[in-house]
Amino acid sequence: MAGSVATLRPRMPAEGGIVRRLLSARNLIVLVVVAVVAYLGAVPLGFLLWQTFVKGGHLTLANFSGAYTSVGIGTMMGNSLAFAFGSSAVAIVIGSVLAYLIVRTDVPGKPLMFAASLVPLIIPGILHTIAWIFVLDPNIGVANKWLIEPLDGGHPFNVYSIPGMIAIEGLHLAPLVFLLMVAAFRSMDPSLEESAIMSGASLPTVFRKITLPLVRPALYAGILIMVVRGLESFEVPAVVGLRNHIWVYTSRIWQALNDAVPNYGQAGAYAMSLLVLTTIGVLFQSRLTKRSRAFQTITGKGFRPHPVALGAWRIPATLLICLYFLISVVLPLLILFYASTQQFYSPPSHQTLTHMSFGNYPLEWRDPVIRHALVNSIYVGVGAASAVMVLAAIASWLVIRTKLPGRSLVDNLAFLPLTIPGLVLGVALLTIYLRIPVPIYGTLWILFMAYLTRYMPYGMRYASTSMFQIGRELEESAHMSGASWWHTFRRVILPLLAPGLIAGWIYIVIVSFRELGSSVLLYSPGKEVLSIVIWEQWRDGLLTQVSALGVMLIGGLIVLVGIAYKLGAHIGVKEA
Amino acid sequence: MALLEIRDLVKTFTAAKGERRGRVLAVDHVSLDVQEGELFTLLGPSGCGKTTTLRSIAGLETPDEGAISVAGRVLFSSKTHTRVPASQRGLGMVFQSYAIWPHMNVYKNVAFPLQVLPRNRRLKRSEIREKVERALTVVKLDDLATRDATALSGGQQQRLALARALVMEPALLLLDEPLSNLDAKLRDDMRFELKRLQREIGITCIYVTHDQVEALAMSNEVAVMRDGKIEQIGKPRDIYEAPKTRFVADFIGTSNFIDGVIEDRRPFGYLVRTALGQLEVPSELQHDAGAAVVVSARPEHIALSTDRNGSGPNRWLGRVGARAFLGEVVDHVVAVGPTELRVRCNSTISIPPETDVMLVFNQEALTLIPAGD
Repeated sequence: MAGSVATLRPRMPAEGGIVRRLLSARNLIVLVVVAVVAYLGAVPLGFLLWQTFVKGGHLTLANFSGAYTSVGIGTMMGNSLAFAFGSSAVAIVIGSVLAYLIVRTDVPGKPLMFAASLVPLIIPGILHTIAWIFVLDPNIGVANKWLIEPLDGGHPFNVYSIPGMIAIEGLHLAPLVFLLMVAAFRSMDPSLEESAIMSGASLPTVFRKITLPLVRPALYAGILIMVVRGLESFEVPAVVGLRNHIWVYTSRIWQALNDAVPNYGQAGAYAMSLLVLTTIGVLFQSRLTKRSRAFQTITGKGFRPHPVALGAWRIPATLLICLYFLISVVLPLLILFYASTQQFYSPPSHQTLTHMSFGNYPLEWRDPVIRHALVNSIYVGVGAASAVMVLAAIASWLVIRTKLPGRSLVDNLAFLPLTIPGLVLGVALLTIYLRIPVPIYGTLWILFMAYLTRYMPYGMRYASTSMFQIGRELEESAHMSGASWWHTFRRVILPLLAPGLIAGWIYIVIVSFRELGSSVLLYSPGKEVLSIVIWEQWRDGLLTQVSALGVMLIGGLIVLVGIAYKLGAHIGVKEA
Repeated sequence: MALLEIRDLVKTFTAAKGERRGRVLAVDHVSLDVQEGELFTLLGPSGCGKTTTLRSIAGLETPDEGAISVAGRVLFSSKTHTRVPASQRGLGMVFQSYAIWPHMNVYKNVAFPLQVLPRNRRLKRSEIREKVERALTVVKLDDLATRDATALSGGQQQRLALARALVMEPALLLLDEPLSNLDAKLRDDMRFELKRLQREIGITCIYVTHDQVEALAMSNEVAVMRDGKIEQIGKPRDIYEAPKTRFVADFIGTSNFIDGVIEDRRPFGYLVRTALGQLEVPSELQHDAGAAVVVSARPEHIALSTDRNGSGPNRWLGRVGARAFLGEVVDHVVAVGPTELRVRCNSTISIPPETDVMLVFNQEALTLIPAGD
């Protein structure tokens, strides 16, 4: 084999010398990419550590004692955990039941469910939360006015509470669980269940002794992912929780930095604690995922669906799916649309329904602040998506195709930001760019850096999935035809990677349009993006205007998601 | 009475989107009998309906029409609307993927069928242990009982699947391409192993495969299927030596097909005129003079000789076009007029290309097949 390797590598001309060889285009590009990935992956965390633990050149825990002695800290931690585990539980129950019904039974309405699973992608978290406030607010909420008050007069459900936060976040996360569990149920060899049936086991026994144990690792992994997401969530704690002073880690970080005198050290201490929690979750989850892979026994035989006949249970199951679709898709969209047509928000009534107007739309559309924010969002989103995909294409080639020492380090560094919650990243970038003399604070560039860092892991995932599908021989034959590395990359690898890269690009554009967690800490007045405008309009109480803006944004995102699907991209599972 | 009886089994599937047909006939009026203690093979290319037939017997697929009974017990009948659920049929099954439960160890995998028996028929713990150990001993896995199922090799997983299917002592064992996931060497070993086991236990087996060698080597009886229908049922030797249709002759082994017409009767069969020359072919079937037929001649049933004297039916002149040394045998491609025939000689005979030769057909081994199929 040694001989064949030698022949595969075009020999460098001998007169070039060792320096010229090291400075070849390929090595330079690779070097730059490695440097950028390392910078993006490692520096924010390093800075955050330094900032939090070092004061005046000494190791200190002063920031922590400051952060953790403030009033109500125990409640805050309790709230964070209750909120994260609660919303995770809600999401897991809803998502798994629906996934089982869709994959394993003969229930109708499967397209409905897959449409519903796109909701987190097209309705940004902040709009989702606002829509649910319109539904569940104790004074103006539709559900309270129409359903709960007539049934149980005078005891409206108060959404501004931990259960309310859990319900909204759980509903937002459920589609994610659904997609994860659909994958888990699908990757299970149906003959594992069939052989249990042949062994004489009844359907409930098969479910209990075979199906459930087999998806259990995926289920646990799903719970951990959802807990991490719950801990990271900023929209629900900020929009719902703040009103009744229900603090969690993320809202505390935001508050520490929005005080009259921003307390960077304290924000850092909270951010560090949150980071530790999410990292523990992610580590556990990746261990579980490895174990669940050992459970997957996909065979060569094409998957033939042998759905379980539900019999008498078919009608309740169908109703359940319709109900879910109504609650998770129709209701939020409808209420946002309704709100957008009103001058002042009040619950739907004969009076308000006959006085609907689209006046808010041109108002918002012509607003120079919003126009400016739209342009900013496009700049930052498109810029970050393009940069991420270029980086990811080269980095994934490096990781998958070369035998360079340290390539697994590049891989790990590229995935590191996955464990960093948006607000924590915001804190880290703030501390960096307020300290070092790179003048990007106060410009759009700092948002660009934040998005670049946050979405690098997703770009890597898209690029490396595609890279795995390209046979090594294609590249080698290009070398054999005399093509240089750059030619091979540009003419052979990039065109083959293109569908995956485009899918990843669109996905990152979509998610960066809704990014709020790090933007809310990093933007400066005059440099807003769309998600920030929504956040500000909501805080200013412009309920109906913000709804109109939201409906327009959702429309735009639907178009983008539609394009992505036309391109055959399977988006949705990666993030929401 | 046959142990397994299948009568007029029909199974259709909804066609995939975009196909013109509304439903696809997967199994088209299949009837067959399997005697006790036999290893009966359903053989055919993929999509011929063999697996669907097997899954219908298992109860994992519900046929549209027909009847299935095992040992006199009706498992399915479209007339009386009988349909015994798969879990109550008490049949053993080995899946192509083995379907070993990865979350149980070897012992638990085998014990499962005994542990899920209805309470009134459930055995004592000690009896279960005894039975499981016996089943594991039969497949030579007794020393691996506590090992994780996922830590087994392919061949061991296969034997584990077998032990799990046998532990209930079923009347009928269904095997769905059980050897197709093994590598070639292991497959040869397992073939004999499986056959030995089957004979020792005396269990009746239905075996599904697309591998003709497997079918010929293992079966007491073979049913060759095509497009949901049974083309021919018979003992392996009969199927090989006296294929009834061109499809069977072609699917089982290689064969030269020579088109011709019946010219005359002979005491043992017919004289057939072909474009290449005359052939005397044995046949017990009734053919009229002038009827179009196909003669199937296996490559190993044609001899080559450089001595070109003598003539008559079954002795044709030809010229060697190419040869290939395959170890035990040498394949020759011989041109007779415009047609090329494949001839297999034992390794002592190897004739260089461009040599004129005489082809001598072994008369008894030729097969007459009605044309038009």
